[in-house]
Amino acid sequence: MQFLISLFLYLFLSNPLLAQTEERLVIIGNKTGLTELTLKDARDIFKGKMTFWKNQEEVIIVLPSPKSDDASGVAREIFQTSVTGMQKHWLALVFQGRANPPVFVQSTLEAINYVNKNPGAIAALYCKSSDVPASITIKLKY
Amino acid sequence: MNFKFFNCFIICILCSAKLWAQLPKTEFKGFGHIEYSLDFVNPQKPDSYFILGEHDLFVQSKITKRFSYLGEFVIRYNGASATKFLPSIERTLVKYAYLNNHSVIFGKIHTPLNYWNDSYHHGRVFFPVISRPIAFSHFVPLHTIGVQAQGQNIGKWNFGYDVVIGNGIASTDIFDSNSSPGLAAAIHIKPIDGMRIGVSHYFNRMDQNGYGSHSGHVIPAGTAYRGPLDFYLNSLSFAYFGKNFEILSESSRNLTRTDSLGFANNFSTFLYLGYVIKEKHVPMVMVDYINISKNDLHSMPMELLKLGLGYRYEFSHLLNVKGMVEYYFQHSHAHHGSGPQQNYFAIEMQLAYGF
Repeated sequence: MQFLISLFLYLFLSNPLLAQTEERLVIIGNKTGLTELTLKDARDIFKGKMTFWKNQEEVIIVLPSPKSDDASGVAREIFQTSVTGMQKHWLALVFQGRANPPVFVQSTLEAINYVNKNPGAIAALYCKSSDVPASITIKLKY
Repeated sequence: MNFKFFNCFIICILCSAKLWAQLPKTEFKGFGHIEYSLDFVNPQKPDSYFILGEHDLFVQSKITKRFSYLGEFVIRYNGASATKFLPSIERTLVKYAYLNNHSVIFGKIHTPLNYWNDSYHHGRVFFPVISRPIAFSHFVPLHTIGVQAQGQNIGKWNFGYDVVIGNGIASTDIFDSNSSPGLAAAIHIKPIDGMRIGVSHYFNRMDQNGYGSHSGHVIPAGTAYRGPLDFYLNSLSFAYFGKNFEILSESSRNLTRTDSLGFANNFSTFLYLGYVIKEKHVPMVMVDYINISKNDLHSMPMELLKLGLGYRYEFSHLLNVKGMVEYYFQHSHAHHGSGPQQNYFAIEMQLAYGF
């Protein structure tokens, strides 16, 4: 019986269709040279620790604005803090002159459009993976 | 006729829109603060007053992929001005990012000599306590104009470096009469998120001792020494701003050498501890100490210990209020030489904002 329950849970939780309908951290990019990324590397990038990609494109950070539905999920997963903490981090970094400010977007769609138009842009979203085109999605390795 | 005019108008608007789209991306922010102080310097007649603080226009612009601009323009009270306020350019710099995380900076900068001067600049909303460390008013060279090589987030330890060649302590924003430039070198590591450990060194050989516009130093009244002087400053800083605890500790040892009185040894240390409750409430303590030797000819000899107990409330990342009870143990006063010891306490409040 235990075996059957375990098997059912495994099949249920590993169902790719389910993964597409769950909201989770999704990273998208354009000409970043990345196809996959560890969570630690993603955190470093979105905290402003990289200036240029290996292909010499500029790293353009795209983050959800505080009013966006994605904001609290991205702040929690990437910055391990609240939306205010995420804003505070970037305000301090820009004020210190250590980084260019990120681009804040209102919605997932706006992020997709911005990334598509700007080589080097990388965006963190908290949405269903089916909401973003697979062609620009960077696979996140946990 | 009207139709032609309308067409021209539309074409002008479209052209200007295209030009506008090509302009660099520029962001403006402002910072300011208002304070209230109740001090018991004279215990018989305590002074109670509000203070209009510095107001700071911050500009950041991405000019090209590799060039960016940063400016900080401050308006503050100045009793000598007809309007009682004067503007000043506190930072104006062009940064060229020539390689990943390595840059060259030209312009007027804050010297990267410890955590505070390299991080908080003139935005009070970033300050963990109400005032800067005391040493900033006495021997820390705050600014310089020159060239800076900067690296950051290098390797596993997030190593960073800053090397600066610029005008010395006695210079103004447009002239330095001394032949030797001021030299600053600083390195730091950030082993974990929120932590930074750094050391720095500063040296300036002055043919003529002076105070210029970069030092912010208290000038010894009527006894300014104008002979040659070598100025050394070594600093060590440890900062950790985590989810629950905040620690900022920085110490500086300043040596000045003159032919007549030899080496003068000066020392300062600053410690701030904060306990963060739910990101908004921060009870805190602060210790700030400075000792300037009696044979120093650049800064006025003094010994001052300031203890503070306070509380900070964060409304948002752009608005906070701080309240502190401070006690000053003053062994000799900067403005009155080695005068009598005078202790007093003060209550200060600050509303700091960004917009």
